[in-house]
Amino acid sequence: MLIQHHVRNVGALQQRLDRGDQHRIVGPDQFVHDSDHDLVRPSFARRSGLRTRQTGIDLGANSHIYDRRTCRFIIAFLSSRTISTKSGDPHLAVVIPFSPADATIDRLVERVTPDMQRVNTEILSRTGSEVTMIPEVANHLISSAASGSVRC
Amino acid sequence: MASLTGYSGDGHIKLAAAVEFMHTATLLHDDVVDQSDMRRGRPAARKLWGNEASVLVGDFLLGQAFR
Repeated sequence: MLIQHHVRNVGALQQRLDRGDQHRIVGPDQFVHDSDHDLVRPSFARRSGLRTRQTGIDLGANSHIYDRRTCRFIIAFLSSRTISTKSGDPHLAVVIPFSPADATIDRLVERVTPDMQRVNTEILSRTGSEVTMIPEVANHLISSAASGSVRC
Repeated sequence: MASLTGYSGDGHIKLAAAVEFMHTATLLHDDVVDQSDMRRGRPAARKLWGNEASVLVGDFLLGQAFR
């Protein structure tokens, strides 16, 4: 998956060869981030003679230059590549396996099942009415959802 | 899931039921407006009980949601 302005980059060719792998997402925590505390103001830059960390370009007097860095948190199994832009600033993109072979939601289901049963009990207890058609119609639709049919 | 945030009451059960009531009510009304024949792989309520009953039961469920 490419990110907007990267589509004309070499990554686009790679994606085509990869048949546009739809099972990968790019982790937002892996992009170059700007943060307030990293802001280097031009006046300070002029006095201190700072240069940007990654490009080595002098900080201009009329431009705001940010100290760009990626998040420190990187999972070992992730693969990554760097795409250079016209400005020379690197943009880091990381692909994350969307559905690892051992992925399962069993633990999540096990955790929420008791509460879901309580919700069902609550629903059934509140659909009661002296008008027989009301629980009949309501339960028709609710039971459709509970049976695993598509919910929409 | 609510317990993951440290909550220990019953409010989340009632809230979940209310959301389900609202959702079901909107589906009943939606099927009438769209004149749908099927819902969730089964005949729409309006096909079985008619538009009037579907609208009224939808209203009933909305009332239950805010009870």
